[in-house]
Amino acid sequence: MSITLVALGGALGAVSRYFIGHFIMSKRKTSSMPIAMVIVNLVGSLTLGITVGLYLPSENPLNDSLYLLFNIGFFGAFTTFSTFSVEAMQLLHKHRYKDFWIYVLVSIMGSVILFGLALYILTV
Amino acid sequence: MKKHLISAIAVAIGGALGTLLRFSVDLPLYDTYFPVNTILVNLIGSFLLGGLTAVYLLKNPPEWLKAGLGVGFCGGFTTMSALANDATALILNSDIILFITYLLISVLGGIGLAFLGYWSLLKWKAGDTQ
Repeated sequence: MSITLVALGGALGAVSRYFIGHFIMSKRKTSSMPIAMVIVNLVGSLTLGITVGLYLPSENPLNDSLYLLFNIGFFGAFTTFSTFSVEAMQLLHKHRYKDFWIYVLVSIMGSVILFGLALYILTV
Repeated sequence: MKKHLISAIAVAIGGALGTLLRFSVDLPLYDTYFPVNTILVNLIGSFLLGGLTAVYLLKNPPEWLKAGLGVGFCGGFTTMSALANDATALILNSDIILFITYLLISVLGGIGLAFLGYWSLLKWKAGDTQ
């Protein structure tokens, strides 16, 4: 059962990321900043923060259906780190140092701050 | 439209498999205080996608396969939301040093391994065709 929930959440999360990524990048020139995954990661981290803030899983989260489906499955797969690494590497490779720093700082600090802020507002 | 549909199915399958593999890395490491599980999946996944990026440069696989492996599998295997969750947990415990260590290992390791995957596959595949 838990395996099915994790897989289902993962499939839905990845497909949502695929379509949102396509939609955002179709509106932009290929030479511009790769913002699609920045937006996806920020939105996913904020929404996971809201989810964790509103709903704390039972004692053993690994037996908790909602935790498996949403936290591990959907949001885990909706957000991504591998594309972050590769896009950051490509910016470095093209000597776009300013874009590189903006991309890395906004992705990482933005995700952490949005998650933390949502959790803080909802639980304090 | 049909092309998009086939790619979306490949992304769903890849995403499900990547997520399951991430979950299976989570399970034995679930109780560790320092989030080694997220570091492991994010670094391995970055290396894999770096390698795939090099392969795509040299060969041109069908769009659905690229989407299934890259967007689906690597994307589902790695995660930013768990990183945000882990990092926030460390901050809430006032572990500033572990917080900084965690982010530095993830970011420097991820970008470094993506480059290593890209570079080694490029060298290896370039050797193949000579």
